[in-house]
Amino acid sequence: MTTAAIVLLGLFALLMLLGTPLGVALGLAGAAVILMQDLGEMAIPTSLYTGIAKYPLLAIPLFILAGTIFERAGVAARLVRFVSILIGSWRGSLGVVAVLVAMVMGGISGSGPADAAAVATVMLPAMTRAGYPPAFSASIIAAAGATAILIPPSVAFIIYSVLVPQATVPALFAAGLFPGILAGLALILPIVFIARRYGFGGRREDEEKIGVLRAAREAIWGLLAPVIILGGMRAGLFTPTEAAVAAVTYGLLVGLFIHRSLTLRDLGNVFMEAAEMSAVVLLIIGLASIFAWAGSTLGAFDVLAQSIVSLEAPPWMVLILINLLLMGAGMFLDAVSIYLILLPLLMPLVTAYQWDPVWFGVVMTMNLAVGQFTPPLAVNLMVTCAVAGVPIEKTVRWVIWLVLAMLSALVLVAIFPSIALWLPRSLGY
Amino acid sequence: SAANYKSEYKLSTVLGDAFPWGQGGQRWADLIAEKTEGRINVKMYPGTSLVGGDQTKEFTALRQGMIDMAVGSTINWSPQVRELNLFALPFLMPDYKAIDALTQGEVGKDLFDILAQRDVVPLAWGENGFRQLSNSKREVRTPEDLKGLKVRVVGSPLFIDTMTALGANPVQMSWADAQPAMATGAVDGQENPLSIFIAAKLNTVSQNYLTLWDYVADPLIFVVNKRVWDSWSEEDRQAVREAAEQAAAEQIQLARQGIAGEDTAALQQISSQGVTVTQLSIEEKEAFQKATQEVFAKWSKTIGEDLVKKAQDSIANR
Amino acid sequence: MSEHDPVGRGGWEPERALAALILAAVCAISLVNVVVRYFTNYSFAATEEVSVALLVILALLGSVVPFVRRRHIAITVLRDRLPPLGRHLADAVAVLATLAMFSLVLWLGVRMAWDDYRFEVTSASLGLPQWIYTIALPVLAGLILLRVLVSVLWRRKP
Ligand code: NA
Ligand code: NA
Repeated sequence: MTTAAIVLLGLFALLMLLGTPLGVALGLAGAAVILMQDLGEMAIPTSLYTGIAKYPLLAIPLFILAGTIFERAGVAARLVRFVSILIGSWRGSLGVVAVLVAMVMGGISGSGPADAAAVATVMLPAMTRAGYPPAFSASIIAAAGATAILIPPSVAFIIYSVLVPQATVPALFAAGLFPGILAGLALILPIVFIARRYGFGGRREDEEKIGVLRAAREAIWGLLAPVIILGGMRAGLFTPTEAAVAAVTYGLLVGLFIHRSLTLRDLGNVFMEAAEMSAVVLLIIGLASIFAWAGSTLGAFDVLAQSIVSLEAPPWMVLILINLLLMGAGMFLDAVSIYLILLPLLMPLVTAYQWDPVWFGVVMTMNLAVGQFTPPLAVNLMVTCAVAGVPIEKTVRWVIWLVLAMLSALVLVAIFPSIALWLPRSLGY
Repeated sequence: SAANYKSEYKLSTVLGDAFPWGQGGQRWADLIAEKTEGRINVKMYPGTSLVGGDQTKEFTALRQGMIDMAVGSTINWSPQVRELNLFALPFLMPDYKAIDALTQGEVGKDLFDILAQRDVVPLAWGENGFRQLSNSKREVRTPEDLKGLKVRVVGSPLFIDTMTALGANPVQMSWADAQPAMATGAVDGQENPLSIFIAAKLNTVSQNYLTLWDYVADPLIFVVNKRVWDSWSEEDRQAVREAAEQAAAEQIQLARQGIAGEDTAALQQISSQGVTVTQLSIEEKEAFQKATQEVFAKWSKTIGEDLVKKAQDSIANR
Repeated sequence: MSEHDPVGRGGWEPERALAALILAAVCAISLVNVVVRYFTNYSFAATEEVSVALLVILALLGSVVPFVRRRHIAITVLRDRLPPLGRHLADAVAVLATLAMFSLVLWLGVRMAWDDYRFEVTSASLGLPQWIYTIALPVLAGLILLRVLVSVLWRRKP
């Protein structure tokens, strides 16, 4: 049994390090152990199928699609103009605008890379014109985009809830709101400090002057979207899964009939992009369930968790260890994969220490949000660097400060659980 | 010989040991270890986690050897074994004695014969219980009261037909979506055994009216995969069978505790939380039965009319 | 990662177009279900079954082009730092692993669908033959195998 557990983890690690697609590395390691130990080979196709064929997972392609549509519909561009007028222009102001717009867009989109892509496409050119180094802009937007998996709706919370049924999607969504806002605001401090120190941005003469009211009127459709999505869920108009389709419909209506900025050809591209991004995520989820099946049938995860519990370390030390583990994993893996690989190991610990599964989900997701912009593997940075045309290595000197800023927000939520739990409790979830 | 024995056998259930269902599974596992003196070691996997939580895949997985043993529900296995739809025929079984007349009588034997042809060895009957109706809108005493209510049902086409015949709007929804949907009023009601109503605290999601109408029951079946069974010695097979019979008998008692016969403690607990509990009389149940006659007739053909006739006779002579 | 396209962007390959259509169908079904439920007090009780089956097709179909263009999420830090020979070996392992994975899914998926067919398993909500859903797994695994093989055999330097 121990040999099998070593084969499972070793084969996965080997394939992963050689650059095999992550899902294939997980699935093949699981399949190898299932065949080797004669655990029942039909678990391979069955786990793949049932791992994907889950109703709550329907929200993933829909929230990804919603984010893509809002970008193409010109909603993001109008939000930027409005927020810029509100904030004014001074050293660092555009960085602050990028963070705030990413947070509003995060209230529509459920995925970090989708949010980062939307904001980067709209803001990077303007930031470069204002004198921000592209690597710095790419870092800011990647970090701000990570708030999308904390601020509801969130694909990450949906997957967490599927794996941890006692934490419901509405409770997680509510619990993520304040930590998400806190994480976003924490980024503003180092951004302004760095911009002042190096003299990025400042008063801009080139931009077109429109009144604040007109800008507000144009941005209103974007500002209303999170209100409609979250309010609709709260009011019982739709279930979390249906909220995603409401977001898509709203975005299509705004793009086609109000801003009239979407063409049929755009629509084709938007659907193809969202379909591919979702497929990549869903396939990892499906193949990872083969890995999870093999691991849980071998009892591999229980044994590891037991050995941690048997150390009899105080809970806060275990929590720090878990956070270090998550941070390490977050440097190399994306949020979805980390849930799938580590939750089977971590949940027995959460039960043993009687932690609130909703709070733990928020802490874990904050960690993974940080991971989305921590090199080397940082999905958000990959997206923003592609738009900015800079290599990821160049962002390290900037991004490190943003990582530290969001980590301090994480520490606050870990020490004061009510930052996360107050809202879901007062809403009665 | 013991050389062919696995170091661990996987037992699948839907509910964990907070419920009579899971307690029955765990008791079976413990009794097997005791009676075989540790030769057969069983680990329970609740939440049908071995099939990714998809309950309707459990039977296939059991037959194919992904799962070695199960305490499974007739509803979940009916996509693979259509005769098991028998227990979901609306208002077939008026009381607990009727359930026993089927499972412990000739009908139970016939169904075990059918299961035995599908590479599994059925050993004993357990119980998940009668499925009762709850909703947030009003007391339901007649089919008329049910009109227009949005009721969340399990996906089976038979359940959808029954609810439609009664004038309700059946809504199919995963349990994950169903709870927030009840809390916010996206659906009005649901139907489940009382143990689930209590454990999921459905009164906290506005389910304030509970009707005890006994419209369908969900017996459980203790089974072992055929190849696994054949790999055991005669002595151990006997031990596993005895363990199943003992665990099943205890499990049925647990499932009825507090809700049937003299002991109604659980019902009193529910009503003390402000839930209106409505117990239907025989006459009131007949009105519902009448409204669902066509569904009964249609599905009797699918199940096999001889089997349905035999079941009705067994119930009449209970 | 930098040498490959970012996930999502790309041309109008047939698999991408089909996956987009599937996604559109998933949207349409969910939307119709919400609208009908709130405005007519009626519900399509079984849309969940179809949507979820489409999700499986979306996952596999939408993954085809990323496999060919190497856009799936992978850790390439180490691979990128290997000498040319090591890099070729690592890539060969990745391709072989992908072929092995989907050969297994093809072979065992055929058995899964055949089993559903032979035992006349019906779907849980609509009561349709279950194999019409499960057959998607081996068919699309076969498509992935085919496309990956073709791209390896006819590889041209980009
Ligand atoms: Na979000
Ligand atoms: Na990272």
